Amino acid sequence: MEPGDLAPEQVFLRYAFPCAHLILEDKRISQKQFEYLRRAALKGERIPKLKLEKIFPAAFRRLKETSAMSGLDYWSVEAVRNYFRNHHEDYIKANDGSYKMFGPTLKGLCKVRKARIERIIRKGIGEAKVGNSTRPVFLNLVPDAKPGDEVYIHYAYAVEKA
Amino acid sequence: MCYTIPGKVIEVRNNRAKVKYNEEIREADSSLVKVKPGDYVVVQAKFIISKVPEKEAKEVIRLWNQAT
Repeated sequence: MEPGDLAPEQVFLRYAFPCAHLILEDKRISQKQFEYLRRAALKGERIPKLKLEKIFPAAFRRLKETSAMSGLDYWSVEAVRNYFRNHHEDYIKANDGSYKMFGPTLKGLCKVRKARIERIIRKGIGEAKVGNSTRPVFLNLVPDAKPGDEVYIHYAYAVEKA
Repeated sequence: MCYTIPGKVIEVRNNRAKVKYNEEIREADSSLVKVKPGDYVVVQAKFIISKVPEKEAKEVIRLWNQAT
């Protein structure tokens, strides 16, 4: 791996981190574990794959399924992006797991979408345009994002530049 | 898996909202999305990030209460 290249652990955590809030709410991780994830996500640290898999089992299952379909090694940056960017929403549409309880608004937030930063509302928070609507997103995972930039968003976070 | 349930805004003052869930009331920042008492909302990292139509919110809450 070249210096500066991202590892799958880092990319996975960026996309999965917004769900950590919900897993915390659901008391499946402790506040301490949540802070550990948050710090690692913000600093781009690598959390061991086994720990990630324990915290996000459903995402791992789906990542393995979609990678097998696409002929990719599931634990690669390409496969992780392929799952979150291209296939995550298929599972939401198919009402996989807890998604069956969700209505269209919540499902919409859970989908990973490509969006454009319209403006900076204040430090660390921007307004993202997705399709014809806008919504607020936290920018702390992409701190250098500026108006006009294309980013992928998941729940209330911009997770990665497009 | 993304678990979440909407809460109901019961009070808004100076960009702070009180949001009621089944068993508790929590405070959230309401400066990003314009809300009024009675609105159903989603909160992340203590910010209201989206409104949810009442019908959808009630259905999610009903299903959630059935499942837990």
